Amino acid sequence: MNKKFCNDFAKNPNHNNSTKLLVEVSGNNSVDLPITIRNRGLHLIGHSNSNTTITLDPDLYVIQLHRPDGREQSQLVELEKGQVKKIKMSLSYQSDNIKDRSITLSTNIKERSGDTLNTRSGEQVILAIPKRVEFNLLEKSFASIKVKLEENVNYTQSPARNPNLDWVYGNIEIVENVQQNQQEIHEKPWGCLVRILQFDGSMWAISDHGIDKAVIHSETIADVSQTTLKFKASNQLQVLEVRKPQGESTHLVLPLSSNSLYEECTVKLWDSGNDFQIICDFTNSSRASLVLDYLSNGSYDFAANITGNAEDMLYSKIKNPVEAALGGYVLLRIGDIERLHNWPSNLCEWFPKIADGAIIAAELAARKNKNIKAFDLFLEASQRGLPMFREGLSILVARLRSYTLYDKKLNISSSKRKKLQSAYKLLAEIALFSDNNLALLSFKEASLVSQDAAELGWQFIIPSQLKQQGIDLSTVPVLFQGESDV
Amino acid sequence: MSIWHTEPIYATRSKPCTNVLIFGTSNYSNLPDTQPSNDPNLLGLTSITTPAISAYRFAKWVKETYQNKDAPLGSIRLLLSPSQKEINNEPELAHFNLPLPTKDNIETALNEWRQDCCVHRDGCAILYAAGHGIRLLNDSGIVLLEDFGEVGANILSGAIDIGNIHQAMALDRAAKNQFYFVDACAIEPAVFRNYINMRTGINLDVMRGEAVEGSPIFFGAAPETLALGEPGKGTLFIQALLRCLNCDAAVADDVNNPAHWLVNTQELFRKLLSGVNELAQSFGDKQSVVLGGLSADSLFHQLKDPPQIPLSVSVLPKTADQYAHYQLTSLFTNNVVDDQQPFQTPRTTHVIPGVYKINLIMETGSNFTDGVMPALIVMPPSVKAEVQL
Repeated sequence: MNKKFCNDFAKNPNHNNSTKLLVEVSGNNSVDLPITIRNRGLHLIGHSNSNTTITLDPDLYVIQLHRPDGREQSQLVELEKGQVKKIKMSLSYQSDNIKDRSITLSTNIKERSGDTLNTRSGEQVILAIPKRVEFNLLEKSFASIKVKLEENVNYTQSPARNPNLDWVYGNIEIVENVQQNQQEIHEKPWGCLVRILQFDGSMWAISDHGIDKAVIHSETIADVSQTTLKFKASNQLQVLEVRKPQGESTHLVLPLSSNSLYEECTVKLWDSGNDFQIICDFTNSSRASLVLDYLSNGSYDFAANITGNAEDMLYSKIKNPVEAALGGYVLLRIGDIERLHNWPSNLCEWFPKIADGAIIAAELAARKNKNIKAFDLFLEASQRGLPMFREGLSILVARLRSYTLYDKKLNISSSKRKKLQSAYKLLAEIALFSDNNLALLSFKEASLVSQDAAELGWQFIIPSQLKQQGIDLSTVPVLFQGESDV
Repeated sequence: MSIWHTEPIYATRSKPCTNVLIFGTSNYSNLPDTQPSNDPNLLGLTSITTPAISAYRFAKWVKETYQNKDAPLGSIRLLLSPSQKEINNEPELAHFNLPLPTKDNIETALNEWRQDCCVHRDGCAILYAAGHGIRLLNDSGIVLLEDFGEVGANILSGAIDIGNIHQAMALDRAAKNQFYFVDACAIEPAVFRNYINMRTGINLDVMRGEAVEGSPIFFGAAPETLALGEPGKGTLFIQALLRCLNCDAAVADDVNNPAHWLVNTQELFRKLLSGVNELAQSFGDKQSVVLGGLSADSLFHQLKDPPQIPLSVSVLPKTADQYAHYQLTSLFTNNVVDDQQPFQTPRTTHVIPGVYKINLIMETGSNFTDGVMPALIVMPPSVKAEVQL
């Protein structure tokens, strides 16, 4: 029951007097999006794509655009005999919720007297304070907040070289707890540390490529700091590691550079204070971006349609193994292995640094009962660092687990068995903490570098709230004497 | 083991049919009712109050409503361990003499179900499991059984891994369409980090075989998250699942039979994903359904009649409703399907999918002009329309 996308599905088209429809989608430049054509009773007439002329009988139709964000947009179209009609649908979306569109940031002016901070806003205070300082609420009204700053005797300074680690940038919000008839202080620390790790073919190390100029844009919307970072892509596998100064790391595998594509890689970092999110933007491949969008809302059928013919994708777009790998995963997931032909083997051989090619080739071999070949390819994949996509890690770990637990008939040599066990140990841990909401592989907790390197190579991303406040880090409010070395 | 329900087609074995295995555990014989035990092997768990009733509701839906023209319903195996709260809410549960979902009972039922599923390649297999859940890998879904936590047993002795069952069911002779529902949490207890290797008590051999055409696994919760439940109403997953099967995920996508409304894998997942999350958000929480396995777009269910879509129409300004005569007309049949005077806003009508016209004819002298919405497309799951006068 796979969706067959066809361009022309009129039952009895009158070619002399044919009625045609072309659906254009604004807000999407290069990739055709899936549409469904239904009659007025909403019964299926057929599937097609935008920017494709469709021949239909004259009638009333409902055109359903399947948007990459998971929503559907429908439009009623009346076609008269002989008419060639063009309709435009838009991908832009205006929220019904006024809050979604409002941009708010509380700004306030602080006055300090001794160890007391007094603000002229009754809602929140934005500041930077050393972590060895704690504060207690003295007074709160609609007009002001008065906070007493005291030394936190329980705080131990970290041995970190980066002085930013000892500071908290953020806001303090005073909230009325009506039930308990008291006021609570909510702290939201801002700012993240980032660094790049690189796989040299055998192990992970901290990249010596500086990321000093990585920040290309930052702004604050609805109290969330949004920072755009741009990294020079490498033909070595790279992982971006991000963490809050006082929190755990999140790793994101960056798409590999290949020939002219992915020279740069854009990552968006949303910092809401207590938490953050990172998403890699496929700015050089709108097709890959769209496939990822469809996958993220569970639309494997539409993702498969967007990937098109996977074989063509490899041969004609040989510079883009990222798109090819993505297409391969989609076809594996929907079980359409006929469309894979032999190209996964080529993807595996031509791009020896990409684990994804080896995983797709291995999975294809496994499904064709070529178990020895499959095992060797899975083992090969596990030696290539990490796959770019979560789907790849999921397949790889599941198969390695099967080999370690169940299959003793493969006559695995002791050296291969050793490799298998150590690869499975690391990859299973990463898989356990991988982010299921992202298609690109992202994970927490598991560490790729040794404990000795835990505090090395970090760059602090200055929260945009501070910039918006006009606060220069070199003149950040000094709340305690002698605490000026930020 | 006795089967809870069979249809005549099951006995003849001459035609492909759907065989269903459903189990839900709320009451665990080795777990405390309320306060968690300090025993690390019990993972800090207690008995719970929604999986058994959820499993029962799914079984009831399959028995009364499930329809699949290629593989009609054949058999339902049902194993339940309800809590007293669930029996109070659903007294029927006390009247069935159902086997408990213990390790031994599930193993027996599973083997029998697997044999039934291997009679016809064109058949369909459905497995629904609810209870405490653990997830160690992406396509694993470990569900704890009624006798989990026996003293001296391996930690997962009383557990089943649905991921293993899914793999083991990929047989050349097995039903080519299979559906798995894991209505359980997907957490990894900290104590598991001390283990080098753990095996679930029920573990089927995985054979080399061709993959089936479609065998999606619908996991009720994303890794490291909880599957939520609402006492009396069942898990959020089952609430959303039944809504999807009855209406929200229905599409008229059978080109050969345009009047048929079907539920297939892709649409079911899309609507389940949003449905469960919306329910969780209404409780101030989050829950994400995850799709695993082989997710080819297979037919799961065919509705007997077109779904009934709740269409809510309101008028602005609200004070105008008392002067309005409201008519809802189908553009497909030209029939007036709803007519109300005076109009009370908002008005919710259940209608079949289609294109409708809304007319609001205002009383003379009311100072409001008539309102018209010439073409409103009504599709599952629901539509809200606002007419500005």
